Formats: sequence, structure tokens, C-alpha cells
Amino acid sequence: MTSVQTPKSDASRRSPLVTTALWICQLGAAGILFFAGQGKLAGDAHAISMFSDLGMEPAGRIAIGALECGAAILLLIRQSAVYGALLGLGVMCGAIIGHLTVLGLGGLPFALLVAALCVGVLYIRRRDAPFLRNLIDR
Amino acid sequence: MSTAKVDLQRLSRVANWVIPALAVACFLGGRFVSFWFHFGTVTFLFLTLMNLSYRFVQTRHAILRNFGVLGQVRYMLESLGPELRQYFFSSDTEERPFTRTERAEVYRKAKGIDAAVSFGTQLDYGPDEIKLRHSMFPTPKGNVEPFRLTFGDERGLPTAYTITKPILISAMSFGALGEPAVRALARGAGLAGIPMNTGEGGWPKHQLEEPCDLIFQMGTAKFGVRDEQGLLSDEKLRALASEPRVKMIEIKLSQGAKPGKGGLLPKEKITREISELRGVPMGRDVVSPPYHEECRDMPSTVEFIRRVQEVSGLPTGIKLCVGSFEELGALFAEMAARDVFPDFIAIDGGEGGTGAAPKPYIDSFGLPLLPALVGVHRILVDMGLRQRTKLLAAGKLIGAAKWAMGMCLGADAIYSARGFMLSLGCIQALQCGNNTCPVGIATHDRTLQHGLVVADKAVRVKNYIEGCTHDFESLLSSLGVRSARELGPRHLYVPPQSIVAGEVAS
Repeated sequence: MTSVQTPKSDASRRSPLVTTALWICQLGAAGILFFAGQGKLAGDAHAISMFSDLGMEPAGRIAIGALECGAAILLLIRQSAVYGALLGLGVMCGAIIGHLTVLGLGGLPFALLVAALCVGVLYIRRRDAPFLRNLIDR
Repeated sequence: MSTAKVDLQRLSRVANWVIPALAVACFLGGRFVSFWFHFGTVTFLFLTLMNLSYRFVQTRHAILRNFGVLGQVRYMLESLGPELRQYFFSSDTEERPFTRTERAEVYRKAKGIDAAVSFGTQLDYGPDEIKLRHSMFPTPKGNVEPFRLTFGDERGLPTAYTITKPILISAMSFGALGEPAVRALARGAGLAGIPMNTGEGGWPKHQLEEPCDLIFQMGTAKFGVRDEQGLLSDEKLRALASEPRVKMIEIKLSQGAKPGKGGLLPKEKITREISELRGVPMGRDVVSPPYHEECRDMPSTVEFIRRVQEVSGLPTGIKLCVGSFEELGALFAEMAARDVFPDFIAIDGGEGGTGAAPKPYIDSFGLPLLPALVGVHRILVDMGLRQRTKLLAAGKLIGAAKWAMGMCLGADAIYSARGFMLSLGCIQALQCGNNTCPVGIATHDRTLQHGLVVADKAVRVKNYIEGCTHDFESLLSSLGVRSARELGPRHLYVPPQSIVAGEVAS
């Protein structure tokens, strides 16, 4: 057989330690995002008050909730985990801005934690997506 | 006054400032107008970071270092180039290796659609094209004899094998092709009553499960019939030859895609199935040498042919891409001296090849089919050996007219691989080596194979064979002959500047 070259997957080159860290990041980020997202979609009193403060109730609450749930699902699928992490990071950047400017620092640690987990996924999977690879290729 | 023009350099410089400025503007909008603006803040913040990374972190891409995210547009458009050219911009006669016109003809045959075209040829009909010469007195249709060619009759073999159509499916291995493609080809060949070459895929498990005759190809690594050292195992060859549907053996000396070069089967690709079918261990790279270990010179090559013939008891041929006529002349002389002849010689044109190979080999190695065929035919005739073997021609002969041209120049029958891939629905996406074949032929990706429905495509293969065979008989009639055996150079117009003109004239 002289054809069919399957590119070496990055997974085969990762050490068990890194793989474990990757899954902790993915599962952690996905878990928190899903929990937060479904709360917003379900109309949690805390979420409603938060988005009322932001002046985005209810459309913003539903949109952000859907984005968070979407990011969580993407994070759980190997092929789309980078995109899930990117989306999660984007939503968390918005959350950080919200907490710094309007909502107060109460929920900030959670947002920072999820953002950090997403950055971890992006860093470990940096060779999985061409757009990420191009950003750092040296 | 200068005319207006797009200065991409200036545009990207502006973009480098505008993107962060928009991020700041959105942030202010989000702070003082509506939080919704922060969707923009986050987006432009990301774009700013991306831009900085392109321009100052990565070092590989000059365009991205100089122009940042706008430079990325170039790569995105470029990646769409092949599709755009194929869909919109390439003319019907300029794509390679097969033009749209040529491919469309195969698709029509495969679908059983009436293939008449009107208002003249799309080709140049220029002075360098080889054409067929019709007769003023075509043979009445009923007088054209059915095609028949028997392999192994010169040796009086009880296992001599007769084909009744002038076309055989050339070597494509299970491995290069995925399972559904192999099955569709085998089933279609069975329906149309032609044999199929197994390629170097080892034991032809999938082909044997379909009702078609097989030509087993033995490559230099002898997949399927090798011992632990990678040499020929007589015992395994005997077992293979005893399979009732294995009708002939083909020893591959070289192939058009990469004559003179071996290959490497990397251990990552050796799945359990491949390991079993090819008879190679898992977890270790397997080298296909550039030539058979048993064939170190002319005498040992001829003896190897004899050995395979004797062990298998089947008609046994060789396949090669011609490099030097001197070498071939010496080989034929050795065959004559030892009175050992392959039952067929398949000439693979250097233009040939479903096989993946380095570009220098694909582009620049091996004689093109027509001069190679003419040359081999001439050497055999000159040495008085032409009747001792059959010649098969392979290399882009994907329609009845091309078959007839090959036969006029010395071939007894025609081998085709890519013609059959087209009949399976190949769109010439040129992804054969990447496991990403979009029509599910040259891939093992189950999601892509989903598109290839074996029962449907087998019928297309059969239609293609029968359509072309029908055309071929019609051509024989127009050429004024009663059978393919009567075809010769006199039925061709070969322009004086053609590379085969001298050979044909002499």
C-alpha cells in the first residue's frame, strides 16, 4: 500500500500526564459552562437579576445561556474541542468584562477559572486546528 | 490624477490600527450605551490578539507577518482555488490528468446515458493528435467477431484463461482503495464478465467474496504470499493459486507511477486486517524493495518467472513500466535462451498510476505508454517472439477509441485503473493519498465511504464496461476489420511530429 497517508495525530505524541490535564480542562470547563448555561436557559432567579442589571434580559440571558451550552457540548467532542474552548473563552471574556464593569467581583473567580481551563485546552490542542497552528508556528 | 486602486499594503496597515480601535470603541459602547456592544469588544479583542500573534509571534508565514489577519484572507481564498478552478474557470479540455470532457464521457457510459455529442469536437483536432482511419467499406455489424484472447495457451496450460472483452481492471490494492470501492469494482467486473487485478493488497479477501475472476498481483514485497524474510513463499502461492477464482498471476516488476522505486508501508497503517491480508507483522514498518529480491539480473529474473509459473500452475505475466529498450531486449533474449516466457506482459505507461509517489517519479520517470508499447512490440517482432506472449497496455486508455489505438500499436488487450475509478464516481479531487477522498473510493474513512453504495456503483462499472465494449465493436466495424487481431498501424493516422511516428513508420 503506497497511498493513504494518515497524518500522525497529536494524541499519539501526548504524554499521559498531558492527556490527563487536557481532559481535566475539557471536562471542568464543559461542566461549569453547561451548569451555568442551563441555569440561564431555565430562567434561574439569580441569572434573571444579573441580566436585568446588564440590561439584556431576557434575550441576552437566553443567547449567552445557549452559547455556554453549545461551548460545553463542543468541548466534549474531540474534533471540536478547540472550537468549544475558543467559544467558551469568548463568553468568559464577556463575563469578566461584565463583572469588572457592572456586576461586581462576586462571580469573577468562576469566570476566570473557566477562562483558564479554556486557555489550557487551546494550549494543549494548539496543533489540532490550522488557525491556531498558524498563530504560533515558529 | 492617479486612478483609484486597492493598495493592500496600506489597507492592512489601516486594519492593524482599526481592529484594536474597534475593540476600544465597542468597550466604550458596552460601558455607556448597552452591554450588547461587548459582543463586539470580545470579537475585536480576539482579532487584535490574533493579529499580534500573526505579526510578531509566528515566523513561518511571511504574508501573515507582514499583513496580519488580512493576509489570512489570501490563504483562505487560495485553499478554495482548486475547487473554484474546477467548478468555474478551467475549460472542459484543460484539466489533468483527465479533462472534464474525458471524465464526462466515462460518467455517461457508467450511467448508461446516450453519449452522442453535437456541433463538433472539443479537441483541437490538430496535427499532433493520433487519429483512427476508417474504411470506405465498414464491416457489416454481424460480421465482427466477438473478442477472445486466451492467456497461457502457448504453454498448453489446462488452466489457460480466456477473456471475452478487450478490457481488464488494472491493479488497485485494497489499502489504496477502501473496501466498498474494491467490492463495487469486483462485483461490476463479475457482472460484466471481465477479470480484475487485485493490486498489491495481499490476500484478496474482499475480492474473493464477490463473484469475479481475479489476477493476483505480486509486488516486490509479495504481500499475501511472502515468508518471514519477505521472499516468495511457494506454499502460500500454491494456496492462493488453488482459489478457483484466482485465474492468473501478475509479477509486478515496476509501475508507471514510480518505476524504479520501492515503497514503505508505515506501521501506523498496518491494522489487524492489513497485517493478516498482507502477511506482515504489526508494529513495524514494512519496506517494499525497488525490485524483487529474487531478481538480481536477467537469468534470475527469468528463473523467477519460471518458478512462479510452475508453483502456481496458472498463466503468469509480468507488469513493467519501460525504462530502457536495451534492458528489455536482453531480458527477452534471456527468455528465449531459457525458453521461458511470461504469458503476458503488461506495459504500464509512465503517465500511469493510481499509486502515490514522489513528484519527480510521477512527473518525470518512465516512458509514456505509446512509445513503450510500440517499442516492446517491435523488439518482440524483430526477435521472432511476438507470438510467445500477450501484450497488455495500461496508461490513460479510458474509452473505446483509445483501446483501439493501443491495439493498433501492438496491444492484445487493455488494462485500465483510473477509468474504472471514474466509473465509480471519482471526481478527480486528487486526494487519493490523504484518506480524504470525497467520493469514498480511495479512503478508509467510514463517513466518506458512506457515499459509495456498492450495489449502485457495481452496476455503473458494468455499464461502463459494456458501453465501451459496444463502442469498440462499432469502431472495429468502421475500421473495416472483422476482429481486434487485424488492427495495426495502418489503421492509425500518426502525425509526423508524434513521438511514435518513426516507430510506426519503420
